[in-house]
Amino acid sequence: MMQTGAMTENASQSRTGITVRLPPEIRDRIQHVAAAERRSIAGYLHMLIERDLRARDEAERVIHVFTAPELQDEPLGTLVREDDETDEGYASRAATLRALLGGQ
Amino acid sequence: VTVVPPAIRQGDFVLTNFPFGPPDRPDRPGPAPHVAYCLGVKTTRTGFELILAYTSSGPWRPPGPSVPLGVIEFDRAAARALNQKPFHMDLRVLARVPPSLSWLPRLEAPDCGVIARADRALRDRINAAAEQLVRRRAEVKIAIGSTLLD
Repeated sequence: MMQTGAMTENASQSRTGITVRLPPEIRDRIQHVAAAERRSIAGYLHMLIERDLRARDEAERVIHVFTAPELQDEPLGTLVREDDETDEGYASRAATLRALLGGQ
Repeated sequence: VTVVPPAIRQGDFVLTNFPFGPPDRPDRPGPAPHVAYCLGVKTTRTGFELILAYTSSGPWRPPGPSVPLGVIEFDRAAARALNQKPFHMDLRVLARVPPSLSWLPRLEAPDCGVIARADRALRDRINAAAEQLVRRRAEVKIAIGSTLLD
């Protein structure tokens, strides 16, 4: 049994501890790898999890759009055009932003 | 709500209370001013909103032969042109915020919190990267706050 998170590494208020149960042979291998990388076991597992989550975001093609509460029910409005922007450039930028923000 | 167009425009690097998300609430202003890039300004029914892209100091991590689609690195020379230290921009992390003091803490300062402005070439480069991101990601999923929408 190993414990990760606040209990074993850089304890902070914003981290949560979890318990992970592993077969002894895997635990031994993790310990060796972590030691070779000069990490704690918790730090090594944390790194693996973050790497996997990043890979999932890549694979799932996730774009995060944080929306202020004031705009939650606000439809995507019209893009304000720059003074020096061509018709083509403006149309392209408007379409790109619409797509990035989840519009049609 | 601002009813006149904000002084912040496409191409501006501006100090914002970018909503970082966990452990902070993703739909609330972040805890400290942070530089974001303005991709554009849109009208709303009652005023305007800014479309911001996330930036962070230093190169993209972990280092590798390439960066993910949508990430642009600014090395020492590129950052110096903007009077900044090396940083990267992530066009996959965006925010829609109104031009208000809670989201733009220096909105009432003479510079409105704008710390640098991208020239035409850089704006075009960033827009091209955003276009490529849209083109190559046919199945974009959007996360609003903590809710993932298909």
